[in-house]
Amino acid sequence: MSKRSSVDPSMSGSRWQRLSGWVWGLLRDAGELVLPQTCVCRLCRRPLPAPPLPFACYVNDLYACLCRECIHSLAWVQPPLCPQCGRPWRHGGLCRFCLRRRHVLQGCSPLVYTGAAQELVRELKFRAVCELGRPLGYIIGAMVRSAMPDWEPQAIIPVPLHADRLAARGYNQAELLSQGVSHFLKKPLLHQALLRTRHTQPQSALSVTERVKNVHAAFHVPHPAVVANKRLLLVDDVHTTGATVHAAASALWHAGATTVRFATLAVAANTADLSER
Amino acid sequence: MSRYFLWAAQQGIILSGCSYLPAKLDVERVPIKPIFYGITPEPAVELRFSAGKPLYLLSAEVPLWLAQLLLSMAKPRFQQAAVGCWQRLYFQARVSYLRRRMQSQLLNWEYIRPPAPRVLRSADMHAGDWECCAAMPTPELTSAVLEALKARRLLESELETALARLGAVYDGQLRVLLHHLVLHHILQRESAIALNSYGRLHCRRCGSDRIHWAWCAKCGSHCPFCGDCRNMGVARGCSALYSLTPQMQAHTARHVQAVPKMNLPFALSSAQAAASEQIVSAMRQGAKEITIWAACGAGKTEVVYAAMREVVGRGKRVLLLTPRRDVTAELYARLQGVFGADYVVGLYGAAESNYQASPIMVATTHQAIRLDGAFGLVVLDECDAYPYRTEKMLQNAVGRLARQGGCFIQMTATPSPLLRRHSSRLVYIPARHHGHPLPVPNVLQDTGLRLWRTPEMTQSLPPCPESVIEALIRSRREKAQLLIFVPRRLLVAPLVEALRQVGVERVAGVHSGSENRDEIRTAFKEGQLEAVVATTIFERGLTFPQVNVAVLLAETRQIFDNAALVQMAGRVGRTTTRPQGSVWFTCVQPSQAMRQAIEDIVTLNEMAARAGLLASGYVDVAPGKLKPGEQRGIGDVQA
Repeated sequence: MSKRSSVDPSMSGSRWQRLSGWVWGLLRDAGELVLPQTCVCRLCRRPLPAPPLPFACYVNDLYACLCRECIHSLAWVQPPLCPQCGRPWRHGGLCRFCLRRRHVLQGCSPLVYTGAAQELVRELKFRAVCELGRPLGYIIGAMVRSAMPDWEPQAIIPVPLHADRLAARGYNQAELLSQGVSHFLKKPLLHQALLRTRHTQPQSALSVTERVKNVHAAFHVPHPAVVANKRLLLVDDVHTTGATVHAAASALWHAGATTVRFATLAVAANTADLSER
Repeated sequence: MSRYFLWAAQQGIILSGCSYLPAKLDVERVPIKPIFYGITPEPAVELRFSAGKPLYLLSAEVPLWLAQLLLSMAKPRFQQAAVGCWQRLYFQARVSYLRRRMQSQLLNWEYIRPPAPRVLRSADMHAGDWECCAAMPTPELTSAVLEALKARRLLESELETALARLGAVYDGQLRVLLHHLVLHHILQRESAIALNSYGRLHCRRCGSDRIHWAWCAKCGSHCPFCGDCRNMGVARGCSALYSLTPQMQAHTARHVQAVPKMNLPFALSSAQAAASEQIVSAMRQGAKEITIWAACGAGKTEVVYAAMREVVGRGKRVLLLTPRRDVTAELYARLQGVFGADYVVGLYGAAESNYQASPIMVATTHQAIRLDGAFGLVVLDECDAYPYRTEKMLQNAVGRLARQGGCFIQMTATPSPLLRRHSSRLVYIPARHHGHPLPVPNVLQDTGLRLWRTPEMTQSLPPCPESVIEALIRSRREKAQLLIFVPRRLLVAPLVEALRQVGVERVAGVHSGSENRDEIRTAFKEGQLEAVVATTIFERGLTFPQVNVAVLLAETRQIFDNAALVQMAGRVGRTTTRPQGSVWFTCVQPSQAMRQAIEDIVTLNEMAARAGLLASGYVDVAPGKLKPGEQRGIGDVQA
């Protein structure tokens, strides 16, 4: 107990103990130069092999946080897809969410929100695994390029969090992703262009109609001149009913943006739509 | 007065020599002993004071971890009348180092001046302008905080959820309310990330020094956070760890309960009774560390019951830790049966929601990160199991609890050479309670297993391995269930499919990601399933009454090491109803680890025979009769 009360490690130990600790620290640093600590896969926690390519590139960045097996085990979207929102949809034509909307927002997502992809989003969102943001952003960027070959955004905008939520979490996962997207597509990132002015409940606990009501008019563009007459790409982590991206896009439309499209890391889909493959 | 505080806070100045009592905080009734300091971010609130004692205030803008350092530097400086020259130099050097560190992080960071003492007279202060004392913690909130922090140490965010679970209602900022409790010496607060004795940032929570820096929206600056324990909530440089003060912790640990009655379902065997007595007497003599080396299924958990009962009788808490969730669940159920549900609480995965500090706590080693306080006895079961064996974070957390606590008992069937050498007291239990020797594994060589090394790479499903079919036939003949261990998660589903194709209907697969893990475990135990394919999560601590074991690709390195193989073989023949059984190691080419495992099992059998602990029929098991590492092909297995 007495040991415990002197909790300050910076004051514990004699001068010689501190000195020896410092020397050991130096030696360990030197050792790490020779034999660096191996990184582990963020999904299966097994040590990662050496990077696949001999130069710095997007692929190496991805393989620096996930192992080969885990990348293969991710559920990638495969056609048939909804032509508008990019959701796996076996019946052909627009999916049931796009059919109901007046304004249809075009978008794409590389992953289906099940299994390993779900775990990946959780790591990024709730466990502060910030280093996953960029590589996953590259995946989104690559998807945008292949799904919309004839369209190029002029700027990337992450879907913002409310200031309170941001302060509680410490970071915005959509912004981390959009850093990767902006790096991949070589387009500027406007992280203050869109703000969330209203504190909303987490969408995951709500029904379809409640979700729309929840995020209605929650977004605000403080300086419309920044986004006016521009083609914009909204980036978010998960696309379920599309309520959030639609609310964000309508704020941008009102501010004068010409085209808004969205890209998300994962899209929720019916298992029936997936079993077709 | 506030403006003085604010001014001083902006200047980064330590104030001393004031005697100020705010009107609303009744400090006369509370014995406040030491002098203290203030930290971020509300300058006027984050103060400690006592009548007639000096008051120290640190800059409001200093991050928590830096404030803690500044305090540690400043404290001796003010406690000693004469300030040593080297101390001042050291202090200035440390602060300038930190400033450079900050600038290297591209921070918009003001120059931190080494705080010089200034005297602020008490005549300058007026009791009226202590605005921040308006929100005081209610007695309900205080008792909820006490309940939530009993034997625990939590981050602010974790404490918030714990309070919400307890239904505590409060208005105002939780941080401000908690600060009052800190002032009253009910709570103690430390920054989650701090510098250790040789100038490195490290995590106070898990002890790791793998610290990442990232932009933090919480404090609005680049902020260090721990990369190792972020699964359990993020420990940041700007977040605080709250725990009860040692005095309060000791006060809450004292429970007035009678000595629990033990109702063991069976009597201890002679080997167990001897070991149990040895442990209790060692504890009475004040032993700090004991290691129990027992054969698989020798009943090592039962051996510590007497010691646990004694510690609980003395009014202290007992903590039983295991690295595996399944093992924790089983131990929890078993201990509830022995001591009664009132005395035992289980902390693992989903069960954590109903936290309460009971005299006996059963937890996974991950939960040890959140636990705190002096436990009378800390027992670590399966101390060589993954992930505890490899993760420094868990070892640090358990080590911290063991140092704080009275006695630390480690139990294992496969102690590492290091543990064998360094433990001060080693207690052996070489034989199982029923007096039958451990089943010695058979090695089955099967070239068909090559296809099973990477089944995800082949287009079609590989055929069911012949060695597994062999094991199945044998098990059916013996009317036993078959537990098949595979080295990787990806093999589980294909093997289950292949077994179904062969005609085994009642088969299931389980790995760490399976959602119906507990259901499969109970179904297999009750004999509803004929075979179960599992990864190493089933390797330890579990007892299935009617089981044979087959290990697929037993030569797989890193996963199936010596200890893992001994443990998997030890699943067989653990009960009196079926004290013997068969174990098969199937492989393409036998490995050194397999030979070593077989040798270890034979050695333990010999030890038991020599000590006369085996049943009368087995006295003949003499050294040299069994050939370790004996290899056979398929079909050579004698029925």
